[in-house]
Amino acid sequence: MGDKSINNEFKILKRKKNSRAVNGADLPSDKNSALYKSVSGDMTSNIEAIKKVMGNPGDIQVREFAIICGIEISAAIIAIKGLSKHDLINGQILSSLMLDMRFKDAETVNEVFDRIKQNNLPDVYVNEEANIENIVSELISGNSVLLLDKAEKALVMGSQGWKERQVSQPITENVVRGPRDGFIENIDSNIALIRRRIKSFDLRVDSFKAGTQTKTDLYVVYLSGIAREEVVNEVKKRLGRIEIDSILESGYIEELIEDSPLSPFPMIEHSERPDKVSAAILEGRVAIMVDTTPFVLLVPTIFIQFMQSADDYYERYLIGSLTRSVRIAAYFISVILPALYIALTSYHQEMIPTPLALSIAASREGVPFPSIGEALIMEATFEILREAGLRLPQQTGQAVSIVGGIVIGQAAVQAGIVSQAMVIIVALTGISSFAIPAFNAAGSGRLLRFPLMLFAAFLGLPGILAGLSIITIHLCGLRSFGVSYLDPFISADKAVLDDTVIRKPWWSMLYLPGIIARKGKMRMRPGMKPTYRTKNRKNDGNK
Amino acid sequence: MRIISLVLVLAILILLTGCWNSREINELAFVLSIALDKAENGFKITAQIAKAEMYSKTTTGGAGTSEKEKPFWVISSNGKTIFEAVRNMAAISPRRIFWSHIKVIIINEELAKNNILEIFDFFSRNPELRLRTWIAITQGEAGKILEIVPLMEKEPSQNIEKIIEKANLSGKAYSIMLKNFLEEYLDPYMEPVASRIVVTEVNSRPTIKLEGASVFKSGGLAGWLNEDETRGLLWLKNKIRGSIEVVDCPYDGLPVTMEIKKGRTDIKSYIRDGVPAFKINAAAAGKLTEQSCTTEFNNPEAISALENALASVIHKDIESTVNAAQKKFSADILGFGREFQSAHKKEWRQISSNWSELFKSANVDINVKVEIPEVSLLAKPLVPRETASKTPR
Repeated sequence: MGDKSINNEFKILKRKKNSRAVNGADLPSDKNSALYKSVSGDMTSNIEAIKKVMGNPGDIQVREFAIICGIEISAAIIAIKGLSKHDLINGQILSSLMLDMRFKDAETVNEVFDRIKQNNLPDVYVNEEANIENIVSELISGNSVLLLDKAEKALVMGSQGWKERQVSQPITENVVRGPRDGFIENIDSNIALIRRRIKSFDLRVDSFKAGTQTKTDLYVVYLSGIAREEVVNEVKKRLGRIEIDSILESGYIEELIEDSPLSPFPMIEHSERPDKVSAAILEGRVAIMVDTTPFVLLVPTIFIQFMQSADDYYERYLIGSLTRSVRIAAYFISVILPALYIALTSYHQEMIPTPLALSIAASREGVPFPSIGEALIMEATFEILREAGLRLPQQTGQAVSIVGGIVIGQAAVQAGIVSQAMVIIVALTGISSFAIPAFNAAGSGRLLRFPLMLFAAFLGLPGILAGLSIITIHLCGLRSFGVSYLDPFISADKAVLDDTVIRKPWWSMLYLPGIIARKGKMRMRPGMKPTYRTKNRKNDGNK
Repeated sequence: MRIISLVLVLAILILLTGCWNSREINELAFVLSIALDKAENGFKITAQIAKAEMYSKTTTGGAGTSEKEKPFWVISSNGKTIFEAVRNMAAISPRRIFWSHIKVIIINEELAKNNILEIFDFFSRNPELRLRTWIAITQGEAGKILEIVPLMEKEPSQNIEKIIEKANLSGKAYSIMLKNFLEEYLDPYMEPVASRIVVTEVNSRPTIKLEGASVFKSGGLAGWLNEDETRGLLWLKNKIRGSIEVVDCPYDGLPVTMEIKKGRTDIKSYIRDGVPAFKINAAAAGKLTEQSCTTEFNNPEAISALENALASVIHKDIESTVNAAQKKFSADILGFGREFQSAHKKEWRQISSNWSELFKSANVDINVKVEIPEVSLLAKPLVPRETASKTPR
């Protein structure tokens, strides 16, 4: 298990005097508190001090025993149940300490201590600690502590190990073709999944900690030489200013470091697919991994990324381009279709082809609400159904969708409360919003749909235009870590344009995206387009 | 603070409009066609309004009681002006009458003979009416046409619209949209032509038919073109493509049908002996689609003979139209004046005052060039082998 060299630990603990304290950063000011003590010669008092700092918890394990060598030394191993590997402590550490006689000629406690450290602990991570505070933080991260009577320091041994989920298929980002592994809740397994894919010397994994209570591990992962230095530094700078009690999910980090916190659009992409994250790192993005969550943040983020799915790059480019353009169309449908319907049916009836106008009029016959009211009712119903189906257990969830689909759809139409045309519109809108691979981007569409519907209801098509203009102006102003959110449509960087609405074939995407990676980085040698057949023919002719 | 004020401004902007001009689609009465007739002192307007609920697929209504109910409603009203008549209609209709979906405007002959300016002034001024509406003139009462229930289509205007849309398939009827009609009407160098609708009987039920064309002269209806003259007009207006010509076989005189694949006519103007003269160059490509003569049209001589036969038929058609325009109506429906004016601006100024006389007597040369690139898949006539073996010539 993991050894975490905490070289960049945040200086949260050394808070400024004037600033308001964050929970957990508020350490006792009493200099005589057990926390500030160092390990004394008396083992029992040391154990007491440790227990006192932690409030004598129920899940702490203290095993006192004796080491017999030249002298008899009483010793104790302290670990936390469930966080440490029991078989490692029992089978290897304790047995080697109790049975191994390699240090039996040692005369002093310090000598025994050094021999144990050098020879007797079959573990990668062994560390000397003299500070109670540090010992306790090692304990609560799962390591075990060996105390020797009369020694004024302790040995910390890496013994982290707890129950965790197996690497399994990512639930939120399904692909038809592509690797099936997904990130899990352990940051070290996750970084291993990345390293399995990128065996480059340039892969940098910078470690941080955040959260005064949770002390969550963060990794900033990037390719040096590809990722822009200013982006990497900006990420580190923004992570550095975080002062919060807890980080339970990467969403906390996302909200704390994003550029435009008030925008309805997601400013940072996340993924639980190692292949997607690796691809992003290879393109020069910076990945922020957070312990205890499978979701990894990727910066800088541009809007078009949310329309891309890993499949696009694994399927042949024609199919990839088709599915991607379908998704982009679906996003627009999910944002503007209800608004368009409202505008056309309540202001611009002349724009609807006659047969369609007549059948819409026929389906609205006897409906008591104006089309905006009808649309709001149906959209609200749909959102409730979606939310209900999402939270319920799977079997019940199906029942909800059946009840929703049949009862609301069928019965409401037959009762004449809503029109059939509106049911079609709402269904199409809902399905379109499901076609977008990124849930957070689809959410932005869901959010913007309602104001656009109001604009359409009050002003018709000019209203929709006004609403879309406001959205576009807002989008044009957004930036994510120094990159325009609407890029490549702003900078017209060719390497990124090749990978927007259509995905060009791999052999034609020669350069890495110049707006994200450093400029002019080649992805491949030019001339990779397969031309075997014509070559062979030429050769045949020559013979 | 900025955001709050922004939201406030937006809310005020939106809410102050108060849904102005908003109307639900089911509160409208969609007029699909209108017919204009002459009334004692002004106009009688007949509108065919769609009954929207009849367009729903799932009308569960009272089982079979009113099964034969018409999906439309015909109402009419009188007025001194068209607009007055239109507004009088509002007194009868519970729903707001909505004019944007009009397909056809049918005008009675008597009304069209008077000044049509009044009619088309209304139609071009009103923003709710669109210019992509078909224009047709009828001899009887126009309002009656809107009440003829078609056998195939759901309601009359769809029926009339579809008939007009494919008018050139037969090559015997003319069709024109309001936009183009107004263009020709407002052009000082030419006279407009519109469709003509007649009522015939099929299986002893009244049915509408598109036949010939109606010619206007100086703002009023002048008369009708017959079917041959209409075909010539289609040639001259470059609308003939897709139509057919029936040709007598050059060998045994039996009919051969040619489909016109390409048809292009240019009018050129000259000044010959101080008077304007015109040359009509028609270029056509045809395809043999049916033959009842036994000639095998698979050698160049036979084909060129057929080409000549087709050329003379086209020549005759165009000539009959030119004759009708010059002699029968002396109305420049062919655009000779427009062509002459743009080609000879200086001379036009001198002759324009005398144009109607000069047009009548202008010399017109007609040149027809026909090409038959193919004689369809079945090159030989469909005759039993013994007779076919004696290939004539």
